[in-house]
Amino acid sequence: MRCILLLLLGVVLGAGLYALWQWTVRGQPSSGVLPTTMPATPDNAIRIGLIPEHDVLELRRSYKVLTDYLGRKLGRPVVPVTLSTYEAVLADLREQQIEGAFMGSLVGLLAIDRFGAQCLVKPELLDGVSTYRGLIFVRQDSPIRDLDDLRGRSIALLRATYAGTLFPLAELVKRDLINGQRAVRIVWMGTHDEVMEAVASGRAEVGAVKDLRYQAYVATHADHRFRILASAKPVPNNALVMRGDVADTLGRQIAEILLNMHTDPEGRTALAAISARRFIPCARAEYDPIYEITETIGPAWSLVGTSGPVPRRPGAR
Amino acid sequence: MLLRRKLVWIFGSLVALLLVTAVGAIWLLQGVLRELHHLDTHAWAIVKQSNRLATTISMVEIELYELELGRQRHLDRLIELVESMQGEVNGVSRSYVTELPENRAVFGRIRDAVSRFAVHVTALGTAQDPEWAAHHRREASAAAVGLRRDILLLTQSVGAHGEAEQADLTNRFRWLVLGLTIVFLAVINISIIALLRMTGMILKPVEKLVQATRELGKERFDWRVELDQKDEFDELARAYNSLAAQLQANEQRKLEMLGQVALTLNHELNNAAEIIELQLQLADRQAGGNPAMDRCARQIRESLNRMTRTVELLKQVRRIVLTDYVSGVKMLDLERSALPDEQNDPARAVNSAGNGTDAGPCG
Repeated sequence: MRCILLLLLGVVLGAGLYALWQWTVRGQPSSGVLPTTMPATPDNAIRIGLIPEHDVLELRRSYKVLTDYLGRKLGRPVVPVTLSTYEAVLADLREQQIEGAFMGSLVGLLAIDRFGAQCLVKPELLDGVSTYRGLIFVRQDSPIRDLDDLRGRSIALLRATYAGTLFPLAELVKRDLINGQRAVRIVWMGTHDEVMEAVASGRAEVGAVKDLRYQAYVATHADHRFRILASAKPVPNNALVMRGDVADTLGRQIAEILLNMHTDPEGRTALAAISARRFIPCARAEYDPIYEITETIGPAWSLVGTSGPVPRRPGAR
Repeated sequence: MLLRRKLVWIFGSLVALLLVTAVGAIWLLQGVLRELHHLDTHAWAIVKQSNRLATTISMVEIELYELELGRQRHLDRLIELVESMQGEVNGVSRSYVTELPENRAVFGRIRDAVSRFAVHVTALGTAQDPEWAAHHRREASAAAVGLRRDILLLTQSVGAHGEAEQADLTNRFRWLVLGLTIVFLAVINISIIALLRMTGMILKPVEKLVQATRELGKERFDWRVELDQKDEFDELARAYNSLAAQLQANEQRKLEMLGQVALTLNHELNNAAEIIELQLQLADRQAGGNPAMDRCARQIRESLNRMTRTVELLKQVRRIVLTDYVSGVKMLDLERSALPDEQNDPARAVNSAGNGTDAGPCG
């Protein structure tokens, strides 16, 4: 009996000490801080460039889901590389810092033109749209009725984009509104949304943006009313352009995965992250509307904001 | 069982008191540890997080500078740092110190500044126009300056608050130690008193019983043990008292019987002694002064006197005190048996083998 009591006492004492130890260990605070150092990119990683359009944080987060999916399918890590400017993505392609990039149509065309890159696929958005157009617009209450009324007006543009630069400059060149007394005053902005804000606030009388950003802005700013003066021909939206030396090998593998990912539940999750329904093939000929402009823009090309010569249609050189 | 129950009660109460004291002390000390943990996870953790936030801002500024100089084309590191910064601000916001009146405004400014900073940094990532990019860089730098100032203010305020809390905690801990010391001293005193009471419950009655046994050994049959504990010792005392009473009654009966025997002997011997004395007087008259006859008559008278005295002593016997007669045989020690109680000392009893009679020349 005594032995049992002693044993019981020992067990209770041991349990109490263990509970006390657990309590003291559990009470230690954790750091709870995100790492401020990036992990090193593995040597065999595939680097895919991204050019932010409006929210760089959101863009990286959403495309990280896509690149992680690609990495699992390829059996190699795929790392998104967020680039600050269109020039940066061209420089990275030239220096082989990236294997490819999701890029706008103008920069894509420059990559194809200068480095022999190939466009492979483009995303089809949830509403079935895989292209975009440039729009020139004014406020609903503006006295400007058509592009011929732009003389002496102010126009908000974006650098180095088809919709925000090339298309409106081409229209201005057609109407001789770049230089001289009839010249418009160009106000350079940073994003499509900033162009919309500039026109809405009156800082600029006219604006030029891509239609997809126009529609997104109008949907969230019901009090701002605009009127479209002109729209451009459609070109591929955010296509995947691969470096020429890897396009036929690695590029084909990636394209095959992307073209079929909508049949895979995991793939559909990744597509939803970038607000796309599926990927569809993209051909070089879809960039012809840009060539039509570059072949006629003349000296105004210097205003576009990219370095290097004007891109020429293959066969026209 | 009564004694066992009493001991269990006292001992159990003592153990319960010690347990309660120990648990109370542990609980109070745990409270202090909780306060220290609270201080560590809130005040000092906020200071550390604020410092980390300042470091992150510096790293963001370095990245912006690298971008401006064209040494860096990639924004991923910048994005990670901005996200880290937002995470750190959220971490700081979870602490109660940011809700204190003196810190609320400062933290509000920090939160706004971080948002503005993030907006300009992210806009920098999409600004293709160099002038526009420069504009955002300037705005981001201005936000960073304000952030640093407010972070410093917050850190100082939180640090002061933490120090005040720590001082208060130290003071309370000091009082707690003092209180616990007093409590433990009191518990020790109570324990000693309880243990003394427990030993008293056992030793006192044992002492009384041992003393009574000694008195019984001295044939003090009138010695009684008085206990009022209402337990097994009471039972033992009653048993002892009963035994002593029985022994006393036996002794009394023996003395009464001895007294009656002495009376009978006294009566018969006195008659015989008188007859013998009368005959001795007649013999003296007839002896006509014969010295030998006088000597014999004198011895006979002395023996008669001795017999008379013996019977007299027998009548005065107060207790039975024996002495050795011959080996293995005891006889009544008349001298000591007739002594008053205060003069009777069994320690002085002589274990004699003598028969107590003198032989005379007449025999």
